[in-house]
Amino acid sequence: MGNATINKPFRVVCEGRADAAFFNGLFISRGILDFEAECAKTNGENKKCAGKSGITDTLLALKTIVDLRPGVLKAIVIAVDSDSDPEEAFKTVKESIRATKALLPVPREMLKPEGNDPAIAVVTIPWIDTPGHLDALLFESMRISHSDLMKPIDDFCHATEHRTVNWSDGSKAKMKLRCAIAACYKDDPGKSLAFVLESSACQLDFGDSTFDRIAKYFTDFNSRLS
Amino acid sequence: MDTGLQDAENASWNAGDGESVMIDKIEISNFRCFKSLTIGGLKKFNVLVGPSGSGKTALLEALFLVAGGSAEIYYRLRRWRGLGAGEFLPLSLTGTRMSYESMFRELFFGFDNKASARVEIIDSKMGYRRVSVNYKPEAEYELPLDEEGPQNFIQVNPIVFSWKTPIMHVESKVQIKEGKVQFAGTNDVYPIWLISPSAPVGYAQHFSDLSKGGESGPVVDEFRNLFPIVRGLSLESSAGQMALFVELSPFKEKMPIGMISAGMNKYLEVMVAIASNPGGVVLIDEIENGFYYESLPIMLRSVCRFAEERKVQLIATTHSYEFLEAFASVMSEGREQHFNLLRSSRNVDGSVDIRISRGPSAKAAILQHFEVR
Repeated sequence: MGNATINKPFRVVCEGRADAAFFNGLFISRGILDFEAECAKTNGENKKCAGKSGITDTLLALKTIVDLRPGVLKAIVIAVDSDSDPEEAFKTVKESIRATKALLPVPREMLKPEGNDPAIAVVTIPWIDTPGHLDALLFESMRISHSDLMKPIDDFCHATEHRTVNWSDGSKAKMKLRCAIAACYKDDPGKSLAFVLESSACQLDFGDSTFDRIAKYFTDFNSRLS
Repeated sequence: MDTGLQDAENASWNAGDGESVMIDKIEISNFRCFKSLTIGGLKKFNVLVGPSGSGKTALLEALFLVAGGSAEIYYRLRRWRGLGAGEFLPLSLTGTRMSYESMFRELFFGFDNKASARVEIIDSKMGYRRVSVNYKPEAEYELPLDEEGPQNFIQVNPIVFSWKTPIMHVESKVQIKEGKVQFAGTNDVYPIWLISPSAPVGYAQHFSDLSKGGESGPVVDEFRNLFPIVRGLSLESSAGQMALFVELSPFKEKMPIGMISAGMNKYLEVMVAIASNPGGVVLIDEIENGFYYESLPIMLRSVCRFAEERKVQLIATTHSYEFLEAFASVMSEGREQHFNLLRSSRNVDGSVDIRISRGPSAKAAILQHFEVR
């Protein structure tokens, strides 16, 4: 069994496997060479993504890499869904950082890296002033490239409103994206989002302008470091 | 005796006084691969990883040396590494000062014997203990090289090992007399035991000492718990030498432990070291050697509990991730704040750095399978 190695000086820690696949795809597509992404995990569960609850353990683990192998890891960006309130999401992440017992600097504002060795920054998806999730962002990116799917999916969502009226926005966004993905993969309409994003035949376009703001943040990240 | 135990029989430190020591800080300069090194915040359990040739064994040997009270310690360490003649064997020197100095040449970082080499530990009880090694500036005696005549002498600036604590200062010169190395020294040693693959296994005598003192019972109990096929342990004479023998189910005849299993032998050596050195420090080089991977957690749990009960600090090296995983899970059982993971690495100038990661984050890195070695 191989152990995880740190290959890039900047690392994105995100909630799920799909998020990590999205960021890694974006970095390759946009030529952002200093970053790699992983999902947050808990101790002893190194094959399973743990969402926000894995952030503390993952940060602790990365702290060891920084302590034992100086220069290997310079900064960590924690990327989480904005959910219904980006500020609340930021607050939750700060609690996770504090739970490392002051081993790592706690950012005072979003986007801005705090401290050194490693610097820590937080970004929320779709963006720091926008509630939502990765799924909503990805669906948005398909509006032009998969325009033929938009009306049928909207119609389907209206037609099923009696069942989804109490669903969260996140769940509704997942349903829309799931419909779009299912319509794109003849061989396996049930492909998971993570699998789609990791696949070389991914039909999502990382070059879409929907992702420009996020991509720019990572492209310019080095200049934000003190 | 040529073992990894400092001879503490007449030491000022007394294992029976209920006190314990714990090395908190190590400072080394100009010694072996260490140009200038400080490690602080050591805990009860410390595991050192790092590539081959990055100074892991050298660190344990530095601690063994500072714990000693005679230059013989360094000579012993050298012999374990396959260098030098035996303490009482004739030397063969070639008639130059360099041949005398070659015995200790690699002791100094970058072979620079102009500056003093120094190893210092700071502990929780006794304060500091330091050994400095340097050549006397003036030649002190003449060394006859052979029996051919008075023209065959070399002037020798003797190398001196100097140990210092807040209450003791002793010097140990290395002299060659009648073709043999002679050392002075003190019994004021520090309670350290070194277990190294290169050191001869010689714990039978110490087991015997424990047995005579009625203190071998817990060692035997732990051993039988870990290896249920063992009915008992006893000291027997074998070809004129004392050796530990095992009663193994279902056999009637006892067998020498060394003939059964390297793992059993290693485990017993560790347990005897801990039991013989209560309140002290046990250094274990390549701790994983000899152990079957599945038995690592249970073996480690037993060793750590045994060490805790006897207030023994452990400093071990390993190359094994399976060991680290077992170690991290044993530390998860309420010992998180009591362990460190250390990693050694070489700098471009050949010197070694050792960095430290504290228990909770080290545990997370190991249990999430990050490569920390």
